[in-house]
Amino acid sequence: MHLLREREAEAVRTRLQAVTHPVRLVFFTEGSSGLVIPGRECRSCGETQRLLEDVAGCSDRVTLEVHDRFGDPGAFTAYGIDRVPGLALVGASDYGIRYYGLPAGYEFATLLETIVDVGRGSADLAPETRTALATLPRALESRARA
Amino acid sequence: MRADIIEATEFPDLVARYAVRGVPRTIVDDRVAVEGAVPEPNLLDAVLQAAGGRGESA
Repeated sequence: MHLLREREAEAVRTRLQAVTHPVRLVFFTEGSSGLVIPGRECRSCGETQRLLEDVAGCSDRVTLEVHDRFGDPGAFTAYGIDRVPGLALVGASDYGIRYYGLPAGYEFATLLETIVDVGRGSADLAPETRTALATLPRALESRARA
Repeated sequence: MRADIIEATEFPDLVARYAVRGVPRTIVDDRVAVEGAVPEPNLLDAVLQAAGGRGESA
């Protein structure tokens, strides 16, 4: 079952035309194998995966990979994913961008714009911002609650 | 630098840990918090502040 209606899918296809490099949506879930921890079921994992399948279907340059916590714990470690549903957006390189939760409603636009940025290998930052960030001495983590 | 985007409604433990009362709320390096959808220079200030005391939050 598709979560995106045709009209929405058409808008997504149009937006994703801005993607110039391949983008991998590396999705982390649990329970896809049927194995769950009672009381800790991931309620939004299934819906998130269906949404990402729809999005990946809107562009030849966007692909979806699915890793289950119980079947493939090594991938969680490799991408630094500690929660589900979790998503690593990886373009020409891994820019360290992760999304946790279901990107629905307003946040669907956040997901699309992030895919476009990753797929262009660039974000629309002011030159002064880039200059200042280039002087940072060490890795930082920025957590944004959506 | 890495960035985690979190759906607040799905992760109440993080909401409690970072004292989130409204969204968006941006936390840099577990130390500097920014409320609201602020302009880019304000976010940069937060990052510089977290990185070592440079910059002032507007």
